[in-house]
Amino acid sequence: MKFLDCNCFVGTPVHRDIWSPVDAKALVGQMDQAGIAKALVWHIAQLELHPSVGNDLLLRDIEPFKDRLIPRLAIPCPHTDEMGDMDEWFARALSTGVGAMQICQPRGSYLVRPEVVGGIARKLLQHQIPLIYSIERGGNWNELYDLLKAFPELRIIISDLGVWPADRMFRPLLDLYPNVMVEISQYFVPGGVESNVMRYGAGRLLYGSGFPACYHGALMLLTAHAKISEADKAAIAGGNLQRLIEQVRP
Amino acid sequence: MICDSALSREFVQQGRSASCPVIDVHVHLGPVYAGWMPKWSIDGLIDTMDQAGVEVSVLCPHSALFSPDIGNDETIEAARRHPGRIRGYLGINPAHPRNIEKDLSNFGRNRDLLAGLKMLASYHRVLMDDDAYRPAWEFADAHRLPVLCHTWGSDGSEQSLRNVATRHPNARIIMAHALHGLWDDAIDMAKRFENVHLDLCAVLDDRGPVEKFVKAGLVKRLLFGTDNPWFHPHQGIGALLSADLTDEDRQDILHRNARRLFGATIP
Ligand SMILES: [Zn+2]
Repeated sequence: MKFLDCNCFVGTPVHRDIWSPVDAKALVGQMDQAGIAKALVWHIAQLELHPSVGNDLLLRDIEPFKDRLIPRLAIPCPHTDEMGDMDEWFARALSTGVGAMQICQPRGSYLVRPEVVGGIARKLLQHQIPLIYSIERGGNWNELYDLLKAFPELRIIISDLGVWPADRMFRPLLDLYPNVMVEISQYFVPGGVESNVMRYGAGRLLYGSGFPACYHGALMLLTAHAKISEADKAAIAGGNLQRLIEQVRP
Repeated sequence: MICDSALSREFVQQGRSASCPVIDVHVHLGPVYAGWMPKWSIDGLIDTMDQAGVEVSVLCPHSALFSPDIGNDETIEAARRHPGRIRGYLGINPAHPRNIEKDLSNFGRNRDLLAGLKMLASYHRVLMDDDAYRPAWEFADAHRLPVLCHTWGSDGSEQSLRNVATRHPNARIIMAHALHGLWDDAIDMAKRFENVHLDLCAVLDDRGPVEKFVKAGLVKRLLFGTDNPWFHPHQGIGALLSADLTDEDRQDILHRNARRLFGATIP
């Protein structure tokens, strides 16, 4: 089974934590050990310092590993002087081989409301770029519901759900919007994968590890032995992410 | 895949291991706080256990902890239905001392179904050394029973458990979630008190604590727990396979330590 990881990061965080941080080289070493073919990767400085600085650090770090690591770029605010011309910013981002984007939401960030991110949403739709929306890293369900109401076609990957089962939160979105997907690094409730696959098909779940804060093997073992077909397992393990990345339009 | 070890190969290929029959020391059943989980019934639990090679679960249904009107009925019923797979912790709710008295007086009658006591002090808005728990601690001390105690960060469980561990040296304290976040304090507790074990429930979703515990020399004091039906055992087992441990460490954590602690009270 081919695993693609849609949720891992590089870089040293501001605070020391129980997990040890990695750079791109160490990440690839750990991926080799676990058996992960490719990963969509972001940089902790996108969140803790600034999207643009984090993007630069990310692109520099992963440059030697372009065959394995796909950039997940953070989008700067479109209403200040940080982004510059939006078309040009997106053109530059697409030239890096970006696989998905994210809006980081620490204290100083902008609101992810339709009034604020309308322009960004239209560009994401134009280029079919998935937007990763992290619940645990500053996201908020009401905000996400409002965003999708305004832009129902957006390709949203809801990520870092929090470990306590969030089915009541994300399932209404899966029911309403066919392009909404869920990253499963924090979704390991017994029967959860099976129950979602039965209801929505396997196209809505994506393997993610949360590495280096979490272990690669946790959701690998769960995915490999979910009571679903081998084809469905392969889709969740990596097929869905592969398809999303290939569908990004230049 | 995951790691280069015999145990990893076995779990990856079969989802379970004949040489490593898992004992899950921290399990619940049913709903709580109006939440929903797909496999919260006893049949769902047995199915999940089979999937991951969990031989025995020691459980305390949410109803025993959150609904005094139901109390420990489900605990007894689950163990009675699956005597070869399930043992119960008697849920102790400090707000209802008469229930505690009644449950403890019936303990002997259900001795073959019960493996210990379960305390959820911070949820019940008391500390572990609260007077309301005294009869339960005295009972555990007298019968050398395992007591699964919820501990999480600075919820006050550390100091109160130090008091309890000193006062009741024969009670076998299992620190559920290993003081989640306060990893150094958990190590200190386990080193200071021989009757303290650390349960890795909700610990294995962080990368690092288990290696830290093992490096501190505590591999024989670690127990595998999942909060099933909240968390699938494959998540925790997969994490242990990824962690920087030996298969011997994993065997200790996944079943040998629990077997030694619970002895003949589990199947
Ligand atoms: Zn629990």
